Amino acid sequence: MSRPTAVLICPGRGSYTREELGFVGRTVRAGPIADALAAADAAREAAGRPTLSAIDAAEKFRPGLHLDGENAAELIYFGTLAHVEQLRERYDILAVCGNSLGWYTALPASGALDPANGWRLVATMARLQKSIPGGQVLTTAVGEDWRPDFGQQVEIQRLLVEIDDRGDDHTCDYSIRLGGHVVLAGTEAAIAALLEQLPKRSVGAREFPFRLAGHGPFHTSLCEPTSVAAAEELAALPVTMPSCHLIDGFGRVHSPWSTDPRELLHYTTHEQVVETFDFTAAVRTAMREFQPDVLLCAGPGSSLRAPVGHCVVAEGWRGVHDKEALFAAGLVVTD
Amino acid sequence: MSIRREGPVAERLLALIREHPGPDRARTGPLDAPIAPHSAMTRRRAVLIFESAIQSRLQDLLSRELKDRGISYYTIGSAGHEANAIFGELLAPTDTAFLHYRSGAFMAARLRRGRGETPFFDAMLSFCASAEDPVSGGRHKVLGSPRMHVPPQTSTIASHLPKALGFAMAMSRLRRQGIEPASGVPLDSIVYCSFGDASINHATAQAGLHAAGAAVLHAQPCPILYVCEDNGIGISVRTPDDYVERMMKQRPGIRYFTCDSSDFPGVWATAQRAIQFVREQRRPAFVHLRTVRLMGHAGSDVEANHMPLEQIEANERRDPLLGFAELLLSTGAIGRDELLALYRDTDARLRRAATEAASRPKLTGVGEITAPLLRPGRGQCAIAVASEQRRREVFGGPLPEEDARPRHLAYRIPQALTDILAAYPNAFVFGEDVARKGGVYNATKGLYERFRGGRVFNTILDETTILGLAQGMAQAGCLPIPEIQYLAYLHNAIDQIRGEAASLQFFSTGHNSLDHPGHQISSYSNPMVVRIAGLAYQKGFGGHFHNDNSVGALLEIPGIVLGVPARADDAVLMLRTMTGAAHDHGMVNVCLEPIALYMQKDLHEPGDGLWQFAYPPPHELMELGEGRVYEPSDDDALTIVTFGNGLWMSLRVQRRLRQRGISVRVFDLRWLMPLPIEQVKEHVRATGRCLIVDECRASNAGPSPLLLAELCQDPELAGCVLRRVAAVDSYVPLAAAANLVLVQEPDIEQAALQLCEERVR
Repeated sequence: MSRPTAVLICPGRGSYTREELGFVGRTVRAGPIADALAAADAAREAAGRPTLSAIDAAEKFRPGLHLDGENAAELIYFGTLAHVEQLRERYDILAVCGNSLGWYTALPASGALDPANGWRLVATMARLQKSIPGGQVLTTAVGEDWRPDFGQQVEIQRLLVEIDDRGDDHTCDYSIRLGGHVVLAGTEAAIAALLEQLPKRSVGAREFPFRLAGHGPFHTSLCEPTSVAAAEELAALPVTMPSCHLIDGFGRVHSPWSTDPRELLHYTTHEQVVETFDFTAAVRTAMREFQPDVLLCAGPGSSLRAPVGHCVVAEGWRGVHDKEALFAAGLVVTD
Repeated sequence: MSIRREGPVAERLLALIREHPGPDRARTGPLDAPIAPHSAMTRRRAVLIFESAIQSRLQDLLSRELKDRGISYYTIGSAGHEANAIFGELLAPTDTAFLHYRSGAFMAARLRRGRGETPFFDAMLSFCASAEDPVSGGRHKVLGSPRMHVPPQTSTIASHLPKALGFAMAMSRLRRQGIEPASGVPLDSIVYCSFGDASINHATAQAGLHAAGAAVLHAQPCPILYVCEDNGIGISVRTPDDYVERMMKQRPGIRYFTCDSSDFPGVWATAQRAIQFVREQRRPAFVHLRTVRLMGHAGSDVEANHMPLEQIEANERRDPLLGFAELLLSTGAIGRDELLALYRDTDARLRRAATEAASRPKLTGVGEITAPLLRPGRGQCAIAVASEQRRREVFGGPLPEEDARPRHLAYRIPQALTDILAAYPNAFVFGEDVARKGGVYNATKGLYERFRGGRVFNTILDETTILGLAQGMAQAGCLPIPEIQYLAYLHNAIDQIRGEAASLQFFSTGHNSLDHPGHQISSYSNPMVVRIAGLAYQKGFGGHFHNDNSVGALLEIPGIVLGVPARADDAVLMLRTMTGAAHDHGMVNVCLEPIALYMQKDLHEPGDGLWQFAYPPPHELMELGEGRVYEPSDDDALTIVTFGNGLWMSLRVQRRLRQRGISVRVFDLRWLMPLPIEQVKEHVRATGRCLIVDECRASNAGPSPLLLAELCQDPELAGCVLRRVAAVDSYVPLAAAANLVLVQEPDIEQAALQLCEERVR
C-alpha cells in the first residue's frame, strides 16, 4: 500500500517546551544528523558553552537555559530534522515548509542544505538576532471555533498602524501571519503599547495577547542589521537545489528542478529576515498546490497544530469549516 | 490513427524524454551558463520555463479528461503556444498583460513569481467553474489576476487590443497630471497584449494596431508590446504563411520582430530585445511568434474533419515542447529521470488539485451570478466638488450657479464637465473634435482652454479606439469621459461597451484578500461616463447618421447606466450622478444627449425661453433611475410617459390638451437604465391611462416594448388602458420626409385624445 502523502511543516521557536525535554536525544539516530549534532556539540564545548545534548538531557527544564534564543533554536532544529528523517519512512513528502526558524530547518529537510550547514545557518541567525532590541507579541484573530474573526483582524491592523505612526521608537509591523494568530513585532516602546492596547481575548485556555519570551523583533525592518551581517557571514553557505518542493514564507514554491540556490540564500538571509513571514500563505499553498493527504507538523511540541488548523478552517479545505470538523477529519497530524 | 489527439500528443513528448540518449557532452555546461551559444537563457531558467510550459500542457490534457467526466467546462487550450511562458518570465510582473486565451503557460510563469499565488489550484477552480474561482467566481473561464496585473477577459475576438493601448497610453497621461496609476505600476512599465493570427483579422484588432501606429505618429508615448501567436489556422481556416508578416512588417510606427517557438532560446532573445525596445523607447513593438496549434481549436473541434491526418501528425511533430525537451536533455539542463519526475509531479499535482476543485461550491443562485452587475442603490452615488477657489479659477469668474439667467443644454453641459474635471483630477474628456473645437455642438466648449490638452484631447476618428482608450484608461485609474460624436457611430464600436467594458465586472469578482481571508479586494471595472450625441429631429438635416433614433443596442447590455437628459439642469445632475456611479462603483455610464435639444431655448412659443434652466447647486445630484413628473393633478385622465425629444413635444401637447379641458400629466423617464418603472406604475395607476411616447423606432429600438411588458404584466394595472406612439421602422431620411417616419406632436395629441375616450375598467 502506498504511503500517505504529506506536506511537512517545520516548527519555529517556542516548540521546545518543558514536555519536550529529551526530544533530541530520543529522536536523533546515527547518521549525518547525529554527526552534525556531535559537531555542533564539539563547537559549543570548544567555545565553553553547554552542549545541545547536555541541555536536552537536563533533568529539569530551566527557562533561562532552554528558552535562550540560541539554545532553543538549535535544539528545535536538530529535533525536527531527526523527526523528519523518521517521518519520511511513513509518508510520501510532497513539499516542505516551515514557520520562521522552521524555514531554516526546511532547507536541510528538503535537501537544499546538509545537516551540518543547516546548523551553521540556525546558529548564526540565532546569534545575530540576539543583539537586536525589541520583541514579539502574539495575539489572535480567531474565535473558539477557529473561524477567522475579520473584525479583530481589522482592529489589529488599525492599532498596528496607529502605534507605528507614533515615530521611529514605536516601529512595529506584522512579524508572522500565523493562521488565525498574529505575531506582531517592534521596538520595546511599540511592544509595550501593543500589550496595553490590543484587545484582551481568550481562546481555549490561552489568554491573548502575550509577549514571546526571549524573542526579538524578527521578520521586520528592525532586523536589517541581522540581514546585512548574515549575508556576509553566510555568503558561502552551500545551498543547493532542494530534492523536493520548498514553500517559503511568502507562500512561493521552489521546485527541485529549477530553483536558483542564490535566490534561496538571498531569501534566507535577507527577504524573510526583514519582511513579514507569511506562514498562513505557506500553509495555504501547501493545501491548494499540493493537496496532500495530511499536513504533517514535525519536530518537538505541537504548537503549530492550532495555526495550521486555523488555515484549514479558513480555507474550508476538504469541507472542514470549524475546529470540531477539523479534529474529526484528521488532516493535521504530528506523527 | 486516433481522432482524439490528446494521447498521441502526450505520448510523443513522454517517449522523447524516455528514449533520449542523454546529454551531448559538447553541449553540456553549468546550470547558470547559457543553454546555447550566444543565448541569454541559462539552463536553469530554461527548466523554469519548461515547468510553466508543462503545467499549461498538462492542464490542457486534464481539462479534456475532466470534461469527459463532466467536471470541466472549458477545453480551449494553449497546446503548442507554450513559448509564451518566456514572456511571462521576462516581463516585469507589474507589466500589465492583456492576454490571448491560449496563454496558459504565460499565466503559469507569471503567477509563480507572485507571493502566495496558487496557479495549479486556481486553474482547476476555473476549469471546474467553481464559485471560488478567484478570477471570475465561476462565471467564465478567463485568465486574470489583479494582484499579478492581468485584467481578466476572453479575448476571443481580439477586442482587447484597443483597451490594452488605452492602458499603455494612460500611464504617462496620468503621471503628467501627477497621479500614480491605480494599479501601482512602476514608471517604466509596459503593456503586453497577445492574440492569434486569426483574431488579428478582426476589425477591432486592426483598429487597435492602427491606433498604436497613429499614436507614434502623433508623438505620444505608447509602450505596448504586441505578440501575435501565429499557429497558421483559425479553427479550420488556414492563415497564409506570410500573411501576418506582410501585414505587420512595414506597419508605420510599430517595430516588427519575429521568432519561432521551435527555437526557445531564439524566442527568449527576441522577447528580450522587444521588451527592451518598448521599455526604453516607449513605442509599440510587434513580435510575430510562429508556432503550431495542437489538439484542435478546442475539445469539440475534431481536426480530422477539416485537416488531413498527415497534416495533423506533421503539426504534432512540430510540437514546440519536443524541441524544447530535446534541448534541455541534450544540454544537461536536466536529466531524463528528473524531467520525467517533473512531468509526473506536475500531472499528479494538477490531478489532486482538480479533485479538490471539483468539490468546491458552484454558482447556485441568480443573485450570486448577477451580483457584479448590480447598480448602486438609492443614496449610494455621491459627487465630489472642488474648492470654491479652484472652481472660480477654472470658471474664470462667477460660478455658474451665481448666474441667475437660465441656460440651454449645450451651455450647461460644458459647465457640468468643468466642475467634474476640477473635482476629479483623474477625469479626462476625449473624443473626436472635443478639444479646441469644443465639440461639433459646443458641448465641450471651453474645456480645452480651462484644462489644456493633458485633460481634454482629440482622438483619431475611430469610435472603437475611443471606447478602447476609455477602458484602458479606466483600468489604469482614470475616470474617462469619452464622447461619441453621433449615436449612429456608436454601433460600429458597440462591442467595446457590450462585450468588453460592461462585461469586465462580470468576469472579475475580485480576489480574496490574502491578508483578510474572505474579504474581496478590488475587482476590475471600467468606470466611465460615455457621452453620446444622438436622436433625431434635426429639421430634415443630417439623414440617418445624424438622426439615429435607436438605443436598442444599449438597452440590452446588462448592468450599464443609460440616461437621456432632455433639459439643461437634468443634464448637469445626471452627469454628476453618473460620475459618482463611475468613480465610486465602477459603473459604465452612457449619457445620451439629444442633439435637437442642445440649442433649444424655447418650449411653447418662440422667445419664451422656457427650455432654459438654472445651474443646480454643485453638491446636488439626481437619484439613479428617478424620473420626473410634470404638472400632475388629481383629475388627470392620462399619463404620458416619455423621454428626450418626446418630453419636449409631450409638454407642448400637454398644454394644448389642457386648453381643450383635458388634464394629463407627463412623466419623463430620464433614465432608460435603470428604468423608473415603479414611478411609472404609480402614475399609471393614478390616471388609469398611459401613453408611451417613444421617439425611437417601434421594433425594440427604444424603451417602450419593455415598459409595455412591465405594465401589462402588473395585475394592479389590469384595468388600465395602454398605448404607445413610436417612430416608423425606418432609417431617417433627409428633408421634410424625416417627419413622416418620426413621432410628431399631432401623433401624440391624437393618440392622447383617443385614449382619453377609452373607458378604464
